[in-house]
Parts: sequence; structure tokens; C-alpha cells
Amino acid sequence: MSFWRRKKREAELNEEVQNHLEMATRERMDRGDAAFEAERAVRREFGNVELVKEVTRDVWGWRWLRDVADDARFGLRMLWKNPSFMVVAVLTLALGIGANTALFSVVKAVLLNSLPYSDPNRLVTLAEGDRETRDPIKVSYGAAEDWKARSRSFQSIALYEAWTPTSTGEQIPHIVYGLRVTQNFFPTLGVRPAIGRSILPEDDRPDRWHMVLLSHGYWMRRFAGNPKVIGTNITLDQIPFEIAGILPENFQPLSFSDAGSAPDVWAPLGYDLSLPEAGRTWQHLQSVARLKDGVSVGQARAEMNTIAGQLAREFPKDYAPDLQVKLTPLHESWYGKVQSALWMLLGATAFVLLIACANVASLLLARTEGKQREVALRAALGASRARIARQLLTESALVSLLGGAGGILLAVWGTQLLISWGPQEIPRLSEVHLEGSILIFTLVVSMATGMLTGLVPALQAARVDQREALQQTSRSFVGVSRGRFRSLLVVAEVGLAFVLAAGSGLLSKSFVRAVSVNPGFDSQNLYTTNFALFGPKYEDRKAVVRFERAAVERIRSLPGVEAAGIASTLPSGGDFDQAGFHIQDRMISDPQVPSVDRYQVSPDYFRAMGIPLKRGRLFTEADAAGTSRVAIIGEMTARKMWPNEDPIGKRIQLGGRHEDRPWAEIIGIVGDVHQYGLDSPATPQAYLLYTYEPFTRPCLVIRSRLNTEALTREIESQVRALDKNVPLWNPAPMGEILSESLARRRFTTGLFGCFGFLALLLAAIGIYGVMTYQVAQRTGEIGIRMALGAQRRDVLTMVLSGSGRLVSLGIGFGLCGAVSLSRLLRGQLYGISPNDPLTLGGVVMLVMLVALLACFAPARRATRLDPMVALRYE
Amino acid sequence: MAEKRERYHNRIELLQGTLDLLILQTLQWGPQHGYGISVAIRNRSGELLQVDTGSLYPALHRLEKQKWIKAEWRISENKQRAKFYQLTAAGKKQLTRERSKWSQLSDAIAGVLQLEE
Repeated sequence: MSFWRRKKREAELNEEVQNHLEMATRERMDRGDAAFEAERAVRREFGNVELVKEVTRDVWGWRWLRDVADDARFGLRMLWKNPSFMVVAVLTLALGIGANTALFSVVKAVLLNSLPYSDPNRLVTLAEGDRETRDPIKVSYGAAEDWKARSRSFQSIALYEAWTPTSTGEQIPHIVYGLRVTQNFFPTLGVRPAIGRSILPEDDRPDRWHMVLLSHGYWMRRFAGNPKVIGTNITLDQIPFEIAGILPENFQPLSFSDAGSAPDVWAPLGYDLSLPEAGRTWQHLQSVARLKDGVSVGQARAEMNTIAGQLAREFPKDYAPDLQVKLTPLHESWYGKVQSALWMLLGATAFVLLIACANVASLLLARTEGKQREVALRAALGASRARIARQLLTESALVSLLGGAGGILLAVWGTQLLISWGPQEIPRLSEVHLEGSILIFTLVVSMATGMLTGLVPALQAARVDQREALQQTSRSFVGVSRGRFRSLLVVAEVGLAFVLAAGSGLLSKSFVRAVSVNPGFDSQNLYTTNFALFGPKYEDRKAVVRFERAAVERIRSLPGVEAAGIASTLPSGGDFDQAGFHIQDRMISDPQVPSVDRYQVSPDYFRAMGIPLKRGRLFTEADAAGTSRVAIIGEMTARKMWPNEDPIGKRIQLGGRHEDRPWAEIIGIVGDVHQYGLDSPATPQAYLLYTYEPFTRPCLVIRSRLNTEALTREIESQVRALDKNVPLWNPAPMGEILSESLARRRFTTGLFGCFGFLALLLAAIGIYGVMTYQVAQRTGEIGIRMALGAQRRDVLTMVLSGSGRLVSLGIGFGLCGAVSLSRLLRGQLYGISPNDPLTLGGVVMLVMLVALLACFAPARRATRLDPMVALRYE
Repeated sequence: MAEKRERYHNRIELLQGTLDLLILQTLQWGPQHGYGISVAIRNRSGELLQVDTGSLYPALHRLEKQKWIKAEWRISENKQRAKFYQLTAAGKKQLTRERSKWSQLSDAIAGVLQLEE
């Protein structure tokens, strides 16, 4: 029934009843009654006018809705009358709900939303490794061919690799981010170009692969969305590529790019199968495969394990005997690492919300007790207990809905913060936004919060003994059970806050440990940038070395530059280059050769990086000019390969064993560097001179006190002076790169710390509230005690020991909770045990201190009581 | 509370469902407003049946909802606007049904009571 129709009917009912009364009165007056008496008699006969109206209205239906509306109106009026209660309760809940909403929207975008490809649950990644590979992600071309030939689980297996060609032409030379993919890559994902054609099987050949698809964004930026560019050429690495198609605007490459930027150009892999890079041992590609319908991940895994066993037996020269194929659902392989952290954070916000609930429940309880007489009066006037309970629940629901509204506002702001704060490893963070399902989540959470906070106070109120409540003027009738419930709230709050504080303590300590790890080099005043040499000019290896040497010399002679070097790969930068470590006098079959991180560097590299020499000597310019080869190894390599011998003077090769090629003599041992980020363990490493196998994409490292911008400008002009077509990219201070390697840890730790702080703050407010209330309750008792000779100190001890018991109990529960939940934290920790006694002990002290502070003001108020006033207080 | 209960002793409590029958029967003699219906039932029952307004109005609204009676605002004999109820065709059929149900019931009860003697 509509609101307006209802209004009209109510008016009619009023008139109908009014008519009835008037007619009855007139009739009595006609019979001779006095007007006054007639009216009274009629009223008596008619009964309760409002009740008659109400039962009549009930016939219309929708009674409960009307009641709810009434309750809500009444509740709002009551809240309005007590704004301080409302503000505190709504703010508390807004914090809790806001944190939950913000984090849930992140979890939804990153973890719950399915990947934007067709039937994404059938997509998996494949990678090969052996038992020692920590986290296999790569696969060789040959291995993928073997899998395709033998497996029956997949509709298709596609391969891809990062590709960063240089674009020249009208603009200054710059790097374009791209991928080279097999022809079945886009069909595997179920993506078709919006304009033009896709990569065809015949494009995926060494003689034909010079065609590209452009991302929609790049097409708009560079060609202003002009469809006529299809069929024309763009120049990449000085080779013309035909633009064959434009990818759809909604295509998201997500984590297919590990270069840090979304790929803008896509070209066929086009491998020449006779080259070593298409062989079985060169693991440098990544794969994405689509399972056939009806094949489960488990079945595919089992099949791949069987195939791995066969391959290892059949090709012992190519595969390790313990070859393993790791098959992971695509979603998990991208988000598996952030998944546990995000769920953990969502759990933390749930804890914060629970504490907020406890606070508001305790506030509501104090309020209903204050309203005891009002409630009793309403009960005496005929309101049913259910109705009274419902009224109170409506009130708490209103508070939590208001809190929810506030929470959404906080979440809007909070998600912005999360997006700007979040590490790049959470690639879909930019997709986070408030949407319908998140608002529903908030609504559900708010309603649940309302029920949770309101239920106990409502039940308590409904149990009020009317007579007692109406007769008694004192507050001391508050039941024991209610006092116990309040104590329970304190215990729960302390326990929950403890768990969060313990979690943030452990994470913070891990973070401090990770930050204080010595990276193996001095990142202070260290600066790095990349450049690329391309085109026919640099097909001559000597030209590459000439350019690199000249560039380093020019940069080193810049004022303010202390040292400059060149390297093929930098530590902690995300890239790595692993190669087999062959020792001349030790024959090991190929697949079992240990691998080390390989660096090809210029002589001054170690000085520029600040990597300490441990034994022997460093490279010199004479070594670079000389004909005999020399090598330097890391300490771990020395320890592992020659545990009882002096490695200096031994001869090695990196990559493959080639008796016809020169061996390099080890001349020195340097300190290890952290190649894979500060919180990953150090690895075996080896260095060769950059002149042996020239590389066209070097990293420059420069030690200088100049600021980044000035240095970038200087370096750019020096490099361009040598060749104006050379692009520079990714200029950054090394400290930034190091700290980037801890981005996810910083994100998790920072957020968890915020939640821990919030939890402690809310718990402190809760304890303060309850203690203040209890002191007020016991004012009379305290007065008597003081009158009987108790000293202030005794009163203080009494109040503090009462709360101390609750707090200790809470800490006890919290400790149990923290220890039993710590295994969820294990993956996020670094360098400490999840039950680190020092941290937990510190958190115990912290929580105690906070609780003590929260109790102190009410306790002091108790000692300041004037006994005479206190005794008359009742 | 106590006083109120005593007053009711002088009246016969209406059996569940009989009020509908009485209302429909009263309206058979012509359209009538709520007060008129209660007066008519009281008079015709020799002052024995007092219709409680708390039952009358819900019953009227319920019957209206079931479309057995319909309401209309008219000017009463006292030149006053009042809500008049009147039987509908469906209401007339319902009245016949209720009447036969009632006579069956009273026959049955009478039979039982006679056996008792």
C-alpha cells in the first residue's frame, strides 16, 4: 500500500471513529444526558480510541513495516536527544565498517573478481624446475614443444616473453614495452583484435615475425586512434614492423608483463628452431595454457608429472633427473602471494570491527540502563517485551546504519589511499572501486553489527522487572549478569586488540629485520639507469664494447661523479640472469650443473656499487684489454664449490661447457649481494668482464652526490653525444629500487600496524568507558569505604586491581589467540619465529600500559571523591 | 482492571465469527454506518449483545477488504458526513452461507443440550 493511500485511509478512519463518537454522544444527549456526562459515557463505552484505530489498521496489513518505521522515527528522536552518544557510537562503527569496506573492495577486485578473459578458470601456467628451484616460472621452448606433443590435457599451450624494443622515428628514441607471443596466445585467452587481424600461424616464423598488434592505449596516444594505421609500418629497433591490428580497449594484460609497465606492442615469437634459444635447456619463456573442458587441474598435474618423468629419462642431457612441471591456475600464480596477505588484512579489519562492536554494545548497555525507568514505564503501559526489545534493536540498527554510511565515506577515502599506497605487485589495485556488491557487503556488515551490538542490551532491557525498576530510585539494582557481560566485553576487547597488536609487532619486527639486511652493496648515493644499443651499427660486438667503454669514461669524468660502472644485471632490480657454473677440472653432466647468478661487469663496477673485495683482486682495465679471461666469484659460490680449497686460480665457464672456448681464471672473491630482494636469501654469484660477451642492454651504476634530476640530464647528454638514437630508461636511485623490493612487505606491515593501532585505541576507549561507568556505579560503596577509613591509595588499588584482573584475562586469551593464529602469519614474517617471545612480551607490556592509561583517569576520579558527597550520591 | 472485567459480565460474549454474520445481516436492511450497525445489533438483541468497537471496526474493514461489503461517504440523517457500508452481491451470497452455517451450528448445539436433559 502506498504511503499516500495509507495517509488517506488513516484520515478516513479518524473521521469514521470521530463520527461514531459524535453520533453516540448526540443520542445520549437526545435522551437527556448532560453534554459533559454523555461524552464521558460514550468514551467509556467506546474504549481506547487509539487501540481501536490500531487494531483496525492492522487489518490493512503491513503492520511490521509500520512498526519499524515508528521505531525508527522514535529511535532517531532518541539519538538526536543524545548527540554525544550518537557521535561516539557512529564514529566508532564508521571506523570499523570503513576499514572492512575498504579492504573488502580490494579483496574483491584483486582476488574475487575473475580474470577478464574468456572462461578464466580453465587458464593455467606451466613452468619447469627441479627440486631446488624455489619458485619456477620459466619454461624453455623445447620443453613446451615436448609437452604439446605428449599431453592431452590442454586445448592450447601459449608462450610469451617480455620485449622492450626501441622506437625511433619522429620522436626522441624511447623504449616501448611489449611482449613477443606465440600465435596461439590470443586464442588461448579468448581475445580478438578490435580492428585488423590477429597473429596467424604463418606470422610466427623467423622470416615473417615483423608484425605487431598495438594496445588500444598506445594506438590512441601515438596515432590518435586513426584506423588507417593498419597496414602501415612502425620502426622498432630500426626494423619496420607492420601494424596488423589493434587490441580491444577492454583487454587487460594484467600480470603478463613483468616489466612494470603494461605492454603496448605485441609481436610473434617467431623462433628459428635451429637456434639454441629454441632448445630444451634455455628456460627464458613463460607460458599460459588452457585446459580442455572436463579436465581438472589435478588431472592435468598428474599427467604433467608423468610426462616430466618420461622426458627426464629420455633426454638426460637436456633435463634434470628430478625435472618437475609446476602447473598453477593462472589466478593463483599471479595472486597467490598477495592472497594470504590480503585475507590476513581483511581478518584484521574484522577484529577491529568486533572491538568497535564491543564498544558500542557497552555504550548501548549503559544507555538502556539509564532508560530503565522509561522502559519499565512503557512495559507497564502495555508495550510487549518483544516490542521493547525490537525498539532497542532498531535503535542499535540505526546507529550501525549511520556508522555504515560513515564507513562508506571513510572507505571511499581509504581505498584511494590503498590504491596510491599499494605495491605494483597487486596489479588490479587500480580496478578497486565502490560498486553494488560492496555496498551490499557494507549493508550486511552494518546490519550484523547492529544485531551484534543491540542484542544483549535489548534482551536485558526486555527482562527488566517493571515493579522493581519503577519503585527503585537508585541505580544499584543493576543486575550481576549485566556487570558480568560488561566485564566480558572488556576481556574480549583486550584479547582482540592483543592479537592485532601482536600481529603488527611481529610484522614490524620482520620489516625492521628486512630493511636492516645488508644488501651486499652501498645503496647510498648510488644511482642507476638503463640504456639500449640497437641497429646494424651494433651488430659488431666491438662497437658495443667501444660505446660502453666510452660512455662509462665520459660519465666518470663528470664533476661530482666518484665512480661509474656497467653491468648486464643489477641486484634487487627484479631481473636476474642465471647460468650453469662449470669448473674445468670437474666434469658434471649438464642438467646437474649448479647455477649461479651471472653478472657481466666493467672493472669499476665493484667500486661504484661498493661491493667489498674479500680475497684476491678486482678486475682492471688491463684485464679488459688483455686476451686471457678472468672471473670473480661471490663468497657463497666459493664456499659451496670449493669448501676445502682455495678457488683462486681455478678456471670456470658460465652458461655451457665448451672445451673449444676460453676458460676464465678466478682472480678474486667478493661479498655476496641480495639478488632477489632484501628479504630473500643471498645466492651463489659469479662475475665476468663485460667485454667477453657484449650485451646491448646494459645497466649503468653511478656513485655520485648529485641529485637524481641533474645526474639524469648529465648522463643523457653524455650518452646522446655518442649516439643520439640511444634511449635511456628507468633512471632511479638504488635506494628506491631496494625499497621497492620491500613494497609488499611495507604495505602489509603498514596497514596491519594501522589496524593494530586502531584496535588498541578502540580497546582503550572501551576500557575507559566501562571503568568510568563502574566507578560511577560504585560511588556509594567507595564513599562508605572512605568513610570507614580507606585511604585514597586503597581505593586506587581496588579500582585498578578490578580492571587489572579483566585486562590480564584478556591478555591471556589474546596470547592464546595470537599463538594459535600465528601460523597464518608465518608466510609474512622474515627472520623471526611467529611466536617470537621478545615481541609477544613487548606486546603484553604495551597492552598493559594502554589498559592502565585507560583505567587511570576513572580510578583517580574515584580517589578524588568526597566521602560525604559520595554517600549522598544515591 | 478489576472494574472493567465486571462490566463485561452483563454482556454475552460474541462467538468467534458471529460478528461477521450479524454485520452482514444488519446491512441487508440497507446501508448503514458503523455506529448505526452497533446500535441496530444492540436493539435487535434486546440490549443483550453489545458490540465492542474494538471488534466492530476491524471486522468492517476486513469485510470490506474481502469485498463482501463496500463503503461510501454519504450525508447521514443528522446532516453529517459519515461512512456508510452496504452489502455487495458477493456479500449477499456470503450472508446466505453464514446463515445456513449458523442454523446448522445452533441446531447441533441445541441437539447436544437436549441430550443433556
